[in-house]
Formats: sequence, C-alpha cells, structure tokens
Amino acid sequence: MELKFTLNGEKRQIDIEPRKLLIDVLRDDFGLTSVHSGCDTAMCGACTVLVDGKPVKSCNLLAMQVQDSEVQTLEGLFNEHRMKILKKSFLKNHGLQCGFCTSGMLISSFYLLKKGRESDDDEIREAIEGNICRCTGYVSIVKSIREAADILNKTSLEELEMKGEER
Amino acid sequence: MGFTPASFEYRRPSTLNEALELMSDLSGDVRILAGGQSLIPLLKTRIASYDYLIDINGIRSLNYYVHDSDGDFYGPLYRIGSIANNDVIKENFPSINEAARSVADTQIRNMGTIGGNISHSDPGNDIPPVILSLDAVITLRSKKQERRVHSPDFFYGPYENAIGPDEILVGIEIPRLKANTGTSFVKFRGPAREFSLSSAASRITVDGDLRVSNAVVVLASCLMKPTRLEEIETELMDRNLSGDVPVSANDLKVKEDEFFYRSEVSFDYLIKVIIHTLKSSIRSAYRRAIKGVNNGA
Repeated sequence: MELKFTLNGEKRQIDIEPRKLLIDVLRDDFGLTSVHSGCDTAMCGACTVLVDGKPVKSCNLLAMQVQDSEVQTLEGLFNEHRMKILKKSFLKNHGLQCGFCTSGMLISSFYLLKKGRESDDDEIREAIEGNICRCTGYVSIVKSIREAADILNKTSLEELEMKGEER
Repeated sequence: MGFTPASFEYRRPSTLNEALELMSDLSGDVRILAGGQSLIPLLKTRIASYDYLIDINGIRSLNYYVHDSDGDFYGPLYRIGSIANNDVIKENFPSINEAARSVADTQIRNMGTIGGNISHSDPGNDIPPVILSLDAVITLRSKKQERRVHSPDFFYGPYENAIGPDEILVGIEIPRLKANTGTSFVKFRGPAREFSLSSAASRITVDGDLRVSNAVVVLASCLMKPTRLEEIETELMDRNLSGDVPVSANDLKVKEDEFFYRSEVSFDYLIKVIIHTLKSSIRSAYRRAIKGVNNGA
C-alpha cells in the first residue's frame, strides 16, 4: 500500500505492507538509525520521533497512520539551533552515559523547548516522563535540559540563528 | 525488527459517510483505528487480530472541540494531548484536564484520542470515570441511524460497551455545569508504569452556606467498569466538607464481583488506596466548588 509523507523535509513515497510499524519503515527502509528500538512496548521512548511537530512513539504507530503527515527524526533536526544547544548541554552536563535513550530524550526536550521557553524542573520531568533512562538516574538529564532552557531564555532567537551560522 | 502485527486489510476513508459504509458492508472482524495507543500493542503482541482495520485519522471533521453556552462538544479524534494543553478545558472542567494529563505520557497523549479512550473501555482508562461523573452523552452513528447514549448506559464491563458492530462513536457532549460546582479526577498510579490501582472522579455542587447540594462520585480502575458510589454521594449531602471528608471503608458498598482486581497488591491495601483516592478527589472538587461561592460573595 502506498504511503506518502514528508520525512525530514523531503517528500517521500513508499510501497509498504499496512501492518508495518513506523519505526521499521524509518530504520529499515530509510536507514534512520537514530530511531532506537528499546522496549517495543511503547514504554521507553527511545523510538520517539516528531509527527506534525509533536513527539510520538514510532514503535506504537502503524506507518500508514502518518499518511500526508510530516515526520522528523533526530537526523532531520541536525541544523536546528535549539537542538545544537541541547546537544552541547547534554555533553557538558553528562546527560548521557550509554546513549541509547539519548535520541528520544533530545526529541522530547526539543519539543518542550520549542513549545515554551520558560521551563521549570517539574515541566522538564513531565516532558521526559515517556522516556526511560537506565543509566543516569535522570538528574543530569534534567540539569542538561534546564541549562539549555536557560541559555535559550537569555538569548534572542535572532542571536541564536547568527551563532548557528557560525558553527 | 521487533513485533509485527498479523496481516489485515487496511482502509483509510476520508469522510465519515465512507467509514460508515465500510462498517456496514465489510464482513468479518472489523476494528476502528484512531490513535491506536491501546490497540497497536494488542496487534503487535497478536493478542488481537482483525480482518479489517479502518483508520479514521484521515477524517478531519472528527477532530474538534467546541465550548459554548450549552456545554462542551468533543469530536472522537480530539487528541488527549490537545485536551491536556487546552486552557479553556482546564478552567471549566478541571477533572477532564486532570484525567487527560494522567494518561500514560506525552508521546502517548499526542496520538491517543478521547474517542479511543472511551471506546476501548479498559477499566484503567482515565476518561471514562470523568465523563460518567459529568453526565456526558455519547453519540453513536451507523449507516442507518444515529443514537445518543447517556454515559451510565454506555459502559458494560472490561472492553465492552454500547457501541454496536456497525457503529462509530462520533461525538461526546458534556453538559454545562451548575453554578458553584467543582470537579476533580485523582488517580493512584501503581509503581513505575503499572496500571493504576484506583481512580476517582467527583462533581460537587454547594449552596450559599457551603453545604453540599449535589454530589457525584465515581470509582474506576479497580472496578469492572466506572461506577457511581451512591451511598457515598448520599453521605456527603448537606455537609460542609472543609474538615475531614467522611468516607470510610464501611461506606464502600461494592460487591466482590464488581472488582477488577489486579493481584499485585493485597486486598486490604487496595481498599486503603481506594479510600485515599476518593477522599482526595472529593476534597479537591469541594474546594473548587466553594471557590465559586466565596468569589461571588
């Protein structure tokens, strides 16, 4: 069955079995290996991607459900300024150890920062409630997101864009 | 590759009429796919399989929310995440906001729908006790007819409800609240991501002396279906609840076969959890109700 959607900014068309899950289309058919299969039970959030701008669990969606929608994976957010700041902050604050949950964590926190620039720790914890990390105990992840949010709150978007050009 | 559902025929109608035609014409096991957040795990593990899945995500007209003087109107495809982030709902129906925010996590809420949460009718679903406590009306439509079902008549038991084999849930209507009414939903979550042990939805109206003039209390999660606790409601009438909320295990007139008992905790503990959940929900609804009186005075 034909699936048409926008993937990381490009229009895509693919013939798939309707029972195929979104995660399998993204990984197997498009080679987007930032999308991790962790628990396969819609618990861990390692497979989180953005559909029409909102985080969802790609292991818990039929690929056909994103017909005519826009899907973004971590690969497609590479040039986003918020994502660059988040990644730096995760590195600096030890927001990851083994790194398996990180792509999902980054996407959930990217959505949080994009939604509203003020973020307190409760909001941050609620935003990553659907992402499980078995290494860090979350404290350093929350700290990473907190710091990225603070940087974004102090800097105007125009400034960020200029800095982004330089990088 | 991990789990993959068993094969099915997939249909994606773009209008409601087209979907109703399919429901009436297709034979075999037919299932509506909305957000799929409860259905897809069942398909993946092959606990459930269907001949046909009718994906209604392409029917734009089913995704709406309207707030007006008659009440609140939800299309079945309105996402749980949209409810959780909607300030009008939070202001007017805090219990609906609280139920939406307690559904799983952000990602699941972004896909999950109000219609799906109601029609799945898992005892642990969060929206059913709330719509029962608010006297909601659910509209079901088939190719032949449309009918309105009151929430007390809608839920039959685990995964069972009034939706007929050729019907689609097309709307949820929540009547406007009386003045000086407070609502609340409280859920007692199990450890980590276990199913909740108990949840309670309340709607309390007070008179000018801050005494309860109407009380609706619904218990769910631990029961086969969301159930109004009429003995407790009667007990609350004419009372000022500023002090302790007078609810004890003796008031809980639930028969043994009405419990949907997940055996990870002892029964005594479950009863304690239930009383705690009921009290918290009633207390919070009462506080919201008297706020109206105090502000008006």
